[in-house]
Amino acid sequence: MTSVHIVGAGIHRFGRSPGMSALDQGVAACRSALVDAGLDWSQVQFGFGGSRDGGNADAVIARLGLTGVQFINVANGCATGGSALASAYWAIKSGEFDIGIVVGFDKHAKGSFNPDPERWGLPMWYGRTGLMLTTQFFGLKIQRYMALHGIDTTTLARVAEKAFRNGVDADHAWRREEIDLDTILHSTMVSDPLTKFMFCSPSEGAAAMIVMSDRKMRELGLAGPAIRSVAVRTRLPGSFEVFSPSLQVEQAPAPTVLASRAAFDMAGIGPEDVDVAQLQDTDCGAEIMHMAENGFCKDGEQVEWLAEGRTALGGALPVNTDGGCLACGEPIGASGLRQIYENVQQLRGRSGARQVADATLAYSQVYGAPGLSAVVILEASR
Amino acid sequence: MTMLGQPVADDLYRLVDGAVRLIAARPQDGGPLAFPFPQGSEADRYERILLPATGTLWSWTVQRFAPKAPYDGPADADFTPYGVAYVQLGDMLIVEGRVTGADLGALRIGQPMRVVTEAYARGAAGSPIETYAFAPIEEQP
Repeated sequence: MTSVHIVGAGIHRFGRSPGMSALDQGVAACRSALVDAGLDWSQVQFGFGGSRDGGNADAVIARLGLTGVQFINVANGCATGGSALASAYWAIKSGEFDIGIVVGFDKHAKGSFNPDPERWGLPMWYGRTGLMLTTQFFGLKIQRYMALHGIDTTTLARVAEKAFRNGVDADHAWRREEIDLDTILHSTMVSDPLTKFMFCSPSEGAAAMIVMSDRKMRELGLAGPAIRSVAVRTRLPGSFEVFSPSLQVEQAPAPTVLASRAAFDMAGIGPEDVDVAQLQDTDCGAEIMHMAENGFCKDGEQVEWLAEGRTALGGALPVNTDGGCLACGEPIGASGLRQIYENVQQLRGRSGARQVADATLAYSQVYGAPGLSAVVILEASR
Repeated sequence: MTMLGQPVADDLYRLVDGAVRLIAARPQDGGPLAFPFPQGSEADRYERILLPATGTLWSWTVQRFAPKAPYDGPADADFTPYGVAYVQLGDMLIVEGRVTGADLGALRIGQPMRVVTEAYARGAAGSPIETYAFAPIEEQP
């Protein structure tokens, strides 16, 4: 059976890039991925890409060259990058193509997102009365989780402390300075129990990957991590999702639980086999809940895990080794591919001061509105 | 409880014997309840059902900055933080709404809440715009 590899990874640094459009950043990421793979654009047979506020992803082809390449735009909220990679994986796995590019880029205005209720199939009053904010959902979800599972606010703050520490050593990160626990805990409260430094901010950036069949990879003498599994899942009735005017009393597992189980099954491995993980951390609560939803620990064990530094660099399972969304910000179209970029660098031993020793299996997960999750497991090819 | 102004939308809630009852949707072919009641072509597939007027706090947060449009409540210097909660109404449904008449620092999951109305904004002519909200039920000492 065909296996699918990532033979090139490119990124345009996250944060603010005055004078560059989202498209400029996307094109830069594509070019650096091509250089990384040692390929010419004319060799690329297909592309998948996405952007929320940066225009149509297929606008990159006018800059890279009009080769007649097949290119499909992907829009899946915060899971856009993961969904684009999944689409490329299936395209190669099907045997239809050998060489593809995946790209995500974005550039958001400062401040919170202001979605249009009607685009989400929701009534206008939901937005008018001030209920349609992702930040509220993050506060509401972790508030209940903390009460049910005995998580304290210090544990929340430890997630941000770790993120900013990891960001210091990541060239592509936005925030490159450590912030101490006390400052995080006592920064402005935004949506209780989450303070300003416990949230990521909408930002700018781009990432791109070159994906290839194992056959073509050998033929061209290239190398790169194998995609062991990709799973994208949507919500069940009764799961607690963003932008929900009502919830069922009988609660169901989150879409992340479904995507994670499917990805582990497909790869034939378990959470204990993973060496490094990138988990969606739009806020500190999200990383904590995603540790359990992805099967790495039980509900409530996060207190011990964070206190002991098990998810820090040097710990048993380093999580968000480049500082995640908290340190990089969240350009929606690019964010999932930043996780993949970081895992590819880790598996190739190119992560410098933040390198996880002997990383062989790398895991990533993104969550998107209105309730979907994408998981990708990569394995180093040695 | 009386009407405080023009409701922000039709078909959200109804006053019954002085209590505010939210209008949920029950699919005619079975399946789980939903709130709000769907508008437009979807409406034919559902029947209206009134949710209980009281329930318990399921989760809460506070909106501490003024949201962007389409939010049309007080902004800038007039903005004051408001609570947002999910309240479980009997064993029927958990509904999201604004919190009013509460000490936001004292909210706790499991406390009894009632459905009320709140004039959360003012229209072009300065007339109040009303929506449903949740308020703590004072517990008897």
